[in-house]
Amino acid sequence: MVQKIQLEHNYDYILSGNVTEDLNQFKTIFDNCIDIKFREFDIHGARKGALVFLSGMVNMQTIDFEIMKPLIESDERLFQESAAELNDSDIQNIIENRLLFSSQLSWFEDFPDIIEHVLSGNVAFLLDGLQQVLVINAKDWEKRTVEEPATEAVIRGPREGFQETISTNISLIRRRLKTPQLKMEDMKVGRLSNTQIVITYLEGIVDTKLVDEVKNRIGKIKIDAILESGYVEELIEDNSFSLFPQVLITERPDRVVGNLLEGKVGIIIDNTPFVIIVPGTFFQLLQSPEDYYQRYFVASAIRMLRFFAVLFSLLLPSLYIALTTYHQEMIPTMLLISIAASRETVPFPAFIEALVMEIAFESLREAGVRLPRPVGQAVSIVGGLVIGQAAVEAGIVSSPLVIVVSMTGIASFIFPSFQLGLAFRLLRFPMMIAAATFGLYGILMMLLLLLIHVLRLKSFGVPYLTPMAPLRISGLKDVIVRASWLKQSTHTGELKSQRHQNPFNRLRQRQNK
Amino acid sequence: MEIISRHQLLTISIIYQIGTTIIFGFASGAGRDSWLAVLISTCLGTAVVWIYTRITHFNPGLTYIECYPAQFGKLLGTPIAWLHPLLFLYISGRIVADIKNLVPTTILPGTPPWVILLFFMLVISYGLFAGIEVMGKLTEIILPIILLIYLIEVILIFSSGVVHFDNLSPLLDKGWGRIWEVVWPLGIIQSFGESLALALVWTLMNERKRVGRTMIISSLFAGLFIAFTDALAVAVYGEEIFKRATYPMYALIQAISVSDFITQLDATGVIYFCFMAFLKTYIYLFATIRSIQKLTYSNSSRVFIFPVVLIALFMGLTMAPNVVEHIAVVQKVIPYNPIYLSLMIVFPVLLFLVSWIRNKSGTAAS
Repeated sequence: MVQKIQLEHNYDYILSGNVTEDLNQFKTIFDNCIDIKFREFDIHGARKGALVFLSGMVNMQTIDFEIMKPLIESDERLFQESAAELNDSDIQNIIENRLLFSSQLSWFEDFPDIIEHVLSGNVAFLLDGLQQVLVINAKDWEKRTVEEPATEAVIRGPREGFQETISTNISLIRRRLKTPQLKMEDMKVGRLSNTQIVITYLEGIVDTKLVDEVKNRIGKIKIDAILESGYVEELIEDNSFSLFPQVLITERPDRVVGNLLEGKVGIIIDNTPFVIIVPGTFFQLLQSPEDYYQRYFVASAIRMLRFFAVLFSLLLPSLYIALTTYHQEMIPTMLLISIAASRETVPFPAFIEALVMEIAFESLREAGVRLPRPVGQAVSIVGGLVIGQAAVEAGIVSSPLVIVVSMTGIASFIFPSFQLGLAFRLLRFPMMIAAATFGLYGILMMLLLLLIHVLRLKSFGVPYLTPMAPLRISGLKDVIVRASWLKQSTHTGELKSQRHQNPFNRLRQRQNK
Repeated sequence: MEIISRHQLLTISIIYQIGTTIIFGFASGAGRDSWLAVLISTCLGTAVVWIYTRITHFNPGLTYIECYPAQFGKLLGTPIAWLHPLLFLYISGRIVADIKNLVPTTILPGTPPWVILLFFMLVISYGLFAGIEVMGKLTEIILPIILLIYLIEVILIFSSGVVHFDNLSPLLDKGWGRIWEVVWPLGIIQSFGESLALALVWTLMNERKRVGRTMIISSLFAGLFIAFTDALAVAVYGEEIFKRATYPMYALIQAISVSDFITQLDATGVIYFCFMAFLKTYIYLFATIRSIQKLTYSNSSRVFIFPVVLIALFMGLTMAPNVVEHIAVVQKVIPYNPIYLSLMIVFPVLLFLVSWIRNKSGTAAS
């Protein structure tokens, strides 16, 4: 359903059928909008016609050769000879069927509809005597080509990523699922931006309640403009008072399709290459689409590596603090001696030392994102050298800590989801404070707090830690390891459909019948 | 309404029943025969747990606490029912006091106990607000981890070369006397009798009919786990040290020493203990709050969380002046205390008989 445009003032304009008059009405509405173009012309001196369109969002060639040319060059008799006898629908018929070479056209009589179409890049054609306006699709604007996504690079797998134009993004998904079961529903959100949002799902696989809930939540959004999928994410998630992302964000069409096949719902938003997938669960955020493309032994090993990365990025600095401050006896003696030797010159307690280094590292990382490319490299070299080498030599930090901090840094880059990585980056700091105050005991208590919080989270009714808690043994096949396609007959998660995207499953079901 | 699954109840019960014995040991008075004493306690204790589950089975729709007024009449049943939250609260206070005694002396020597306990109670309150369902999921995740760590620990102990099975024999050289001494009544009260608090959770399970089986499985599992650990501790330390140690199981972890590299893992033992104590306190306080809520016919249990948590914290801080006295109470006072025995054994048996007879005659009449 296309929502009616919500206009600032009430347009009580009505189409009169007189082109000059109607054009004036358009000109009042589009006052001071230099990007709106009006083109009046005569058709064989019999009738006046006019085009209204947005320059920069239409293809001029199409207008010139497929709209203007056929109209002006049309057979004179069409309009002149029996003009008096022609009624409106005849004229509409002639234009649609004998003159214009456009596959997408439709008639409108309400101003708000027409304005909406003109603003989204369609051409409006006004003709004398008609109280309706023909809207012709001639959309064409500058856009990026389909490129490899910057944030989710893979070694093996398609190199296509979404871009900012929603129609291209839709086609990228459709190309991978050539079935009428793939549904795309249209919504408009944003009082001023009128952003197009497309909800996509696979009928027969998805739980219809989930689709309704998604539509319901998006329908409730009241905001002036949507500039990025982050707006929508924040407005539809279950618990916005949480560090953890509860939806999956991706730039990769193959990942969207993979999730649709598992019964999830995709939300494509115009003007952003990031597509939202709901419901999002923790373990899914730890998966990369490449897991499914590589050999499954390798993929399973990499998945387990990621679990260690999660623990490392959360706990390594705090364990360092706890062990060196409170539980030195747990460190093997030889190691303890070398740590103590290197800490000898350091004037700070371990906590301050670690805090300084972590903050320095985080700043370096943030600076790397913002800086222009050529400078970025210089900064990272200088930063790495200064912080790594010089700080140790100057006796400000100890060298074991540099190892700890860099390992933590590397571990937090292993996260396939940048959003989840951010959550853990931030959680590291309360963890460090707890470790500095209570040692291992503090770490345990903080972990319990964290777990309780995470266990309370739900994404569209699905517990965040599915299938680990509540436990679902069959689901673990696709969480801890990535089982072979031959072995995955059911699918992960709490979702209603029990079918995984398994090519063999279909066959098996058919044989059973 | 919160609902927990059968698997979640199982994991909660196992962790709850193993509980703090992971540090304190179980039936250490029986010396080298302690593992046998544990097995006997397990058999008897499982029977007691089975009686509890039957009571709730005979009174469908009622929590364990509400069975007393329902079966014994308001006049007699209500006071008995009110004793339960008080007992639960007292025991949770005892566990808090355990934390107070153990943590500062072992891993945090400089930190004042009240700060440690405050943090502890803070996490528990958050857990109580989150509800039992979250706790079910929590144990579901943590139990496999605990068992894995335990397995590693056992392997490490064996590879430290300190296990001498000779320490376990001769079996029963001092007769059955000292076994019975620890089995009755302490062995039955500990872990198994304490499962009474879990009875308040049973009504929240989605498959009510399988509560009994689940509880029996968890009791047997916990019993075997404790018996094995006891035997291991005796094999490592010999009877005398095992009997005298304040924290025999804690000592077990200290015995680990593999090629001078993995040594002194005491802190991990304390961490274990803290988690077990966390869950036990949680269940006791949950049971307290839920019983009070049922007995006062309140709609919301949330108002009771803070008062109850504060009382437990206060009791934990003031319960015993020192560790020796605190431990002595477990061995000398609690087993012979009429409240413990009557609430955990005498009343349940009476209630079981009454419910059973009523149930039988009820079905016969209809």
